[in-house]
Amino acid sequence: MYKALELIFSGDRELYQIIGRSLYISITAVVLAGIFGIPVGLFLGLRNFRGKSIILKTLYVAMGLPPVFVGLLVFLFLSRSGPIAPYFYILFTPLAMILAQFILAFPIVVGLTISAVAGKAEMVLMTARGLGASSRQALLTLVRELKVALVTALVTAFGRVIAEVGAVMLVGGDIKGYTQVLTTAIVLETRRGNFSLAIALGLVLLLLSFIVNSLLYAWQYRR
Amino acid sequence: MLEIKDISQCYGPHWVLKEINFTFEEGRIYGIIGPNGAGKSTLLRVLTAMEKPRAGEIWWEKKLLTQPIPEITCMWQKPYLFQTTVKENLLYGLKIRKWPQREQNERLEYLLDKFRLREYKHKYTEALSGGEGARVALARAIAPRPRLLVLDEPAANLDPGHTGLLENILKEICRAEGMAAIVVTHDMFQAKRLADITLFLSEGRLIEAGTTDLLFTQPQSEKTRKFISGEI
Repeated sequence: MYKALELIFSGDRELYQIIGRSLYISITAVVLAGIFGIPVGLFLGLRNFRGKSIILKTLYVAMGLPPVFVGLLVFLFLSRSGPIAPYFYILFTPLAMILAQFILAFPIVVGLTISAVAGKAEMVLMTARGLGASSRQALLTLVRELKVALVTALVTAFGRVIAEVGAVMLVGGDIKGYTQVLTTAIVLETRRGNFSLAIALGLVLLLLSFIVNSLLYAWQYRR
Repeated sequence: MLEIKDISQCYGPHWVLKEINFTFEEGRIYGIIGPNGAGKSTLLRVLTAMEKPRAGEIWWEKKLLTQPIPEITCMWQKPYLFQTTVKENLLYGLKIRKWPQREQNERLEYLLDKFRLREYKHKYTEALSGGEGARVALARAIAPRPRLLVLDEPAANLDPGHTGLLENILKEICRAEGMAAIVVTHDMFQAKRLADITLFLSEGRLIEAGTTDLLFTQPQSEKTRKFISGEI
C-alpha cells in the first residue's frame, strides 16, 4: 500500500497517461450518451405511441447488459470480417473503446431520463405553459428542472463505464501506451504480480469515483 | 374577451363537461363554484387551451384558441414552484416575454413588496411553507400583467390569514391593472368575497351564472339554492 501511494504521488508518467486515457475515453462516451440519450429519454418519457412498451422493456434489459457481451458484439462488428472493416477499421483503438462504452452508457442515460420525466413532466409543462411559455420554452424549462436527475444519470453512466473491464479489454486490446486504461491495467499488473502498481491504479479508480460523486453531491445540496 | 361555445369534454365514457356556453368580459373577477366532480378544474384546463375539448370552441378576441397564449396565465391547484429562488420564479414569465431588464427589476420589486416576499427573495422554493409558496405562485402568475388570470383553488389548504391576504392582493391588483380573473373555488364565502360574477357548475353543466350578490341571494335554479344552503 505504501509503495502504491508513493507511486501515485511520485508523478509516474505512465500512471498519469493511463489515468488521462481512461478519463478521455469514458468522459467522451458519457458525453455522447448524454447528447443522444437525453433527447431520446425526453421523447420516450413525454410521448405515447404504439410499441413504446416494447422499446422500454428492451431498454431496461440493455441497462443491465454485461460489458463483456457488449465488447464481444462490438468486436465482431468492427473485426476484419465485420461489415464496416473494409471502409473503416478502428478495432484496438480508443475510438472502438469509446463506441463500446457509449453502448453501455446510452441505455442508462435514456432509462434514467425517462424515470425523471415520468415524475415531473406534467406538472412542469403545465406550469410553464400556464405562465405563457411556448412549447419549446416549456421543454427547456423541463430540462432545467430535471438537471439534477439528468446529471445523476450521466454520473451513474460514468460510474459504470469507468469501472468496466470486459468491453474495453476486448475491443481495445489493452495495448500499452495506446489503449490501456485503468481497469485493463489493473488486470494486467495483477497477472504480472506487480501488485503495488495494481493497487495504485485501483486507488486512483476509487479516488476518481469519489471526486465525481462528491462534486455531484456538493452541487445537489449547494443550497 | 374569452368566449366558450358549446364546450363538452369527456374522459372515456364519462362526460365531465356538457355544452357549456359563456362569455368572460374584460376586467372582471369571475368565481366558479360547484360540488366536487362538477367539472370546475376541467373547465379551466379547457378554456385555457391546456386541454382540447371533445366538442365546442373557445374564442379569444374573435380568434379561435387552440393552444395556450401569453395573455392568459394560470395558477393551478397544488402549484408547482420551479426549483430555484423566489426571485427567479417571479421573473419567469417576464424573461420568456423578453421584458427589458429595468422593467423586470421594477416589477420584481413591486411584487416582493405587495406579496410580502422581500425576505424570501433569494431563498430556494423548497424552503418555503405552504402559505409562502402560494404567495409566490400567485405573484408569479400576476407578474407578466396577463389580461386574464386563471386560478384553480388558489387558497386551498391555507389558513384564514394567508387566504385573506391573497384575496386582498388579488382584488387590489386586478382592479389596479384592469386584469380579469377566473377563480375556481369550493369555498362559497371566497366566491362571495372575490367575485363580481359567479358561475355555478354541477355534474358538468353550467347551471346558473350571474352577479355574485344576486346568485347568492336570489338563485334562479333549485340546484343552486340547494348548494348554497348546503343541502348538496
